[in-house]
Amino acid sequence: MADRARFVTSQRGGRTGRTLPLRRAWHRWQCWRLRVHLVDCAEGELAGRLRLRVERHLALCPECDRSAADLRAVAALLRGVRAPALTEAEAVRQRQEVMRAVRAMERVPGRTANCARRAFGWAPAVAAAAAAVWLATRVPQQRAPAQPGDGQAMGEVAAAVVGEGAEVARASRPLAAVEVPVAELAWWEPELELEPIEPSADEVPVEEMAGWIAGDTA
Amino acid sequence: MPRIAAVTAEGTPVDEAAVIARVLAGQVDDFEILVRRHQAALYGFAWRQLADEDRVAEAVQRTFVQAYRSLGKFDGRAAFRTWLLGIAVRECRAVERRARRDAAVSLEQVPEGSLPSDSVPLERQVEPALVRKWIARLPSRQRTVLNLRLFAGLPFREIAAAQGISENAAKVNYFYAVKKLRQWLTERGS
Repeated sequence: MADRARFVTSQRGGRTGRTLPLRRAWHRWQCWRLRVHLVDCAEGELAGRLRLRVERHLALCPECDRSAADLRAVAALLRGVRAPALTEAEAVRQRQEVMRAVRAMERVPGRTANCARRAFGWAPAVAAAAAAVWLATRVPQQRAPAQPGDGQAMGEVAAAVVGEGAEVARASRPLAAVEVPVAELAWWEPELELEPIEPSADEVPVEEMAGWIAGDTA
Repeated sequence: MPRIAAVTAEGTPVDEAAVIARVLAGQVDDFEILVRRHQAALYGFAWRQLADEDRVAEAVQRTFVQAYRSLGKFDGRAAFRTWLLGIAVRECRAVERRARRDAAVSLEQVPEGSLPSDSVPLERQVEPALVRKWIARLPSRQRTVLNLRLFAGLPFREIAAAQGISENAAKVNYFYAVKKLRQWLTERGS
């Protein structure tokens, strides 16, 4: 509050006449904000309200006014400084060197590795998709009745094997297409071999069991 | 080749898009039209950008070779000269880096005659050379923005696009570059 009072006093030309920290900070902030527009102002590219705002600030701030004048003066000075002209002999020699280097490349510009990547970037995706299709078609025609969840499980296996390509295959085909008959599981897990089971003495023949069922119903 | 001389004299309009298309189609010799057209501008830019006279020609040559290599990437959004100047900025930086690396030699390896002499006072040096020396003292970004603005005449929008910075950042860099130059001018005068 005291600061505010002193600020107002200072604004009204009070006794102290000192620039207060708050006012100084505000002024600095304005200078900092307008420095970008000073460039446009010096180049005469500022118009409208922004121009009025910058000009009002310049009228109050001698430092920014000097900066704007510097921008104009230094730019004019530097524009007047010309680089030494390239002699004709030097220019010809330079052109010959450039053209020699260009011809030495022996290829059309732009057809670089990037272009090749752009042109054949689809190849890995197609290879993955082909692998997925191959996996799907490798399944023999005779199938066991599909169990619920079999297709999904095989789809996951295929996805794990061929990654993106299998994902494509799964997305584009119904799940039943990749179902595998149970007998073919040996292909996925070669160590899983089904051995024939010898009938034991305790086993009841099927015919006798049929007789029991017929007796019950009778 | 009289045809090239006829169509590429300074100020004569050249359909650059057509020339570029021909070069891309395999007519390598037509690239000389572009070289001839922009050579002086690139030389002037590199002269101000680099403190070392000997490196200027190298930077210009590297710029053109790199431009030929990347010609397929030129999409025509900016003017061809702006695109070239963007390459020139990078090549000048590369040349400068190499110059700094090469300069790291002991004084015993440098012949006496090639060392700079202090006998000539700064005030008596040629003005363009002095200005160039001052510009060379500026930080890289400020120097580039200043050169592109004052000597290549590019608008801040294109400078910003070529440098990959915002338009305001380009203006601020320009502002501080001029401020520093003004300070050095004042010091010299006092």
